Amino acid sequence: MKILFKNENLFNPITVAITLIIILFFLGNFISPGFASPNQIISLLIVASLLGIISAGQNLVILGGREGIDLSVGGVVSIAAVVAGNVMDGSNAAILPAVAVTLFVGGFIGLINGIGVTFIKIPPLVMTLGMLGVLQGLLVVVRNGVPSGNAAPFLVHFATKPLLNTFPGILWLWLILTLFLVFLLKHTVYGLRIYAIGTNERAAKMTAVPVELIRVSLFVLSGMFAALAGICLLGYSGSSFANVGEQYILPSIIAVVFGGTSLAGGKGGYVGTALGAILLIVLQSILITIRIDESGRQMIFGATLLLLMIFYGRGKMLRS
Amino acid sequence: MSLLEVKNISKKYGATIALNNCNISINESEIHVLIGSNGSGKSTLCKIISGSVQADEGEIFIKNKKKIIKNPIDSKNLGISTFYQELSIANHASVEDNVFMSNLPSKYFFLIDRKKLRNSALKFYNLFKNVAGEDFSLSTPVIQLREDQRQIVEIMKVLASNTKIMIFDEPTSALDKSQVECFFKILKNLKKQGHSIIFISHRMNEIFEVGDKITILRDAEVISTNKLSDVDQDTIIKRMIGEKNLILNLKRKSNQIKTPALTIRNLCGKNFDNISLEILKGEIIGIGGLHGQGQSSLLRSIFGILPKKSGNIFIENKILNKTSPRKSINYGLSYISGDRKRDGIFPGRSIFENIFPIHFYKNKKIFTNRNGIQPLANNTLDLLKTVYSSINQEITNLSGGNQQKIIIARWLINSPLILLLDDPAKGIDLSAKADLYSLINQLAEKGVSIILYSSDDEELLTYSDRIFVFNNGKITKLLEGSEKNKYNLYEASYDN
Repeated sequence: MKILFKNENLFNPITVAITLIIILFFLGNFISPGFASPNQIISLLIVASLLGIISAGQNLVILGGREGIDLSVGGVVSIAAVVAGNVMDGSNAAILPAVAVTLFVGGFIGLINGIGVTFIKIPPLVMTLGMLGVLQGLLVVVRNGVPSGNAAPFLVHFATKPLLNTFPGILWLWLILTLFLVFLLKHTVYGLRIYAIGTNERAAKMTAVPVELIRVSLFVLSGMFAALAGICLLGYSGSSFANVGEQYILPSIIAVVFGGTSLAGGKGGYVGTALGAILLIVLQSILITIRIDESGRQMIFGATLLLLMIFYGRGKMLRS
Repeated sequence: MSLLEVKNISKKYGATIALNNCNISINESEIHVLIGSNGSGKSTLCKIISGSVQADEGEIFIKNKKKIIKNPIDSKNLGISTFYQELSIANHASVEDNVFMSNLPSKYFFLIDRKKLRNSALKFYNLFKNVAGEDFSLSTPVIQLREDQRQIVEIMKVLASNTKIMIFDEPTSALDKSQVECFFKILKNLKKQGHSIIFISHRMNEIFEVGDKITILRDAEVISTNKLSDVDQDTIIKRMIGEKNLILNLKRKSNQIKTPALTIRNLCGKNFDNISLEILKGEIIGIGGLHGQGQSSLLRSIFGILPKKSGNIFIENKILNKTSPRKSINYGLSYISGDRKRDGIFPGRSIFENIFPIHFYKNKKIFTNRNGIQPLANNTLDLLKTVYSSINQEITNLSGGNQQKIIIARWLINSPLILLLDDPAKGIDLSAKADLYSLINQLAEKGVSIILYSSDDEELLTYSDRIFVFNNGKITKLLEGSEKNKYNLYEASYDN
């Protein structure tokens, strides 16, 4: 019997994602020769890394269970780009303070989300949706239509040009983050406790897991990851636009689900999510190549999420 | 003439036999009492008759005609309604809506006829008006009611269905004396009108007051059916426990340290009241009685999962003011629950993750050190004869019994000082049970204090040094020495 189930491995989310990525690259190259050239792949990966970093926070919040989700990441990305742009204002010397301030702002927004969800017991969907609204409004008020803030030259180089003749710095950053998250989730007590509160909060409480503290920390981390992505996005595009972050909300959730993390919490990990992010960006790029416009892409992404939910919904039923 | 007849009914849940070839016949105008210890099959029998559970074998006859009951609707159509122990009421709906939930009067095809509803509900309300309390009205949402008032709502619901056969599965467990009297008057009236009633209660005096016939069940079988006038309390208890009434005790090196490990003074909490007891080092104390008399709540309150209302808990000589699981663990307390789905396992996670959370906490670990700490668990898992292929295997792939052993190991590997066992052997097979208890015995020999609650009276009698019998949230009797036998345990559990 056990041997029969071995081919379960064939259908594990990571294998599926890798296979689909390869298929999509071949397909892209067929439609438009040069799609899978090394330079093209690297520029796709840069775009994917932005989504990947946002999804990291999303992933943690979802793993923590109790319907965890963070819709405010879009707003945090936008705010972070503005804050970072204004603090550094084109000067390399101001990069470090800008990063520190921006991460703090992101973390603070996450803290409010976390407190609302954990202690005031607002459902995460509602809490973070409300926060998203607040942040979007804040952007309009603060900027008042006037574009402000510029990326420092080094940050632009970091996000777009090769670092020391290798890959761009942002890809290294993403790689390090990935390794860090894998280690965190697998080899630290904190990581195991995230899964514990995601699978059985009651049992977690009885085994002395500080459930509330961990749940708040997940939202803080999510805010900080989104802020980090906002800084990178500033480097990638040179200056900040209104609501640049909004387009990432839905994909950040799809990437997590595609990567095999259950929306019910407690199951999954970051490698799948990172692959999910790459997959989505490649798919998006192909859709652009075959001239499907923004609204069409939105529809396809939304439908993808629903399809995935049907898949995983079934899986959950079978498990119980 | 027999109105309801059940013939050769059998039911299995997996490997457990819940009912074995049972026959029972209930006449018109009769109050028929069912009695038996926990798990003897009373509730299963009621569930089969009321359609919420299907029998594996056997037949049901109503007025000598064979009927097939596939679901509760069939049962209702055949004129059977049931009072469920676990109450089947909608919390946010009002009393009157609940009473007529399955049969709301309507007008213009789809609107609820409020006036008619109020009028018909009033009839049942008046029956209980004087005993249900002042805050009890037809428009009160059920969620605002006390436990006894909810039970009255459930009773009214059965009465409103006005079926020929009514089943009451422990309808009086939360009612006070005047409410019970009022309810019995109603039952006797129904009997006069020709209704047949199946009545389950654990209170002996109630059974004798209201019953006409009594059927005794034991170990999934019907032992006897008699007129209540032909039997006495003594006979009933003896039949319930069967022939074997031995004083059992496992030999254990008695350690002479007479220092108290845990003292509880006048502890009050949810479902229990004014409990005082003291456990010595190396002692195993049993808390017995029927299901849900506050035993589990007491253990949960000591461990800090449920809040206590008043009273003191001392560990050795230190007073434990605010309780929480973290604090309890710091003091060396462990709480093993038999309800592993709710309190124990992290489903879908590895055995490793399920075994070590307490270890991580007590040793203030930051990194898991997967390979380094695995040997810590091996010994305990082997002692419990746990079957698993790798410590990285998902716990949900193990059988229920093995899952429970993992949860037990989770607590035992951290050298506890006081063990709170809340039906720890639930769902594990007999040989594993023996392994578990011999391990517990060894711990006691080493000076660990143990409070054991078990739904299996046999286990309780065998392994505990003293037994506190619980009834309705209070300790009604302390059994020790030669008094510690099944007869006394049952008598104390059922006595009112």
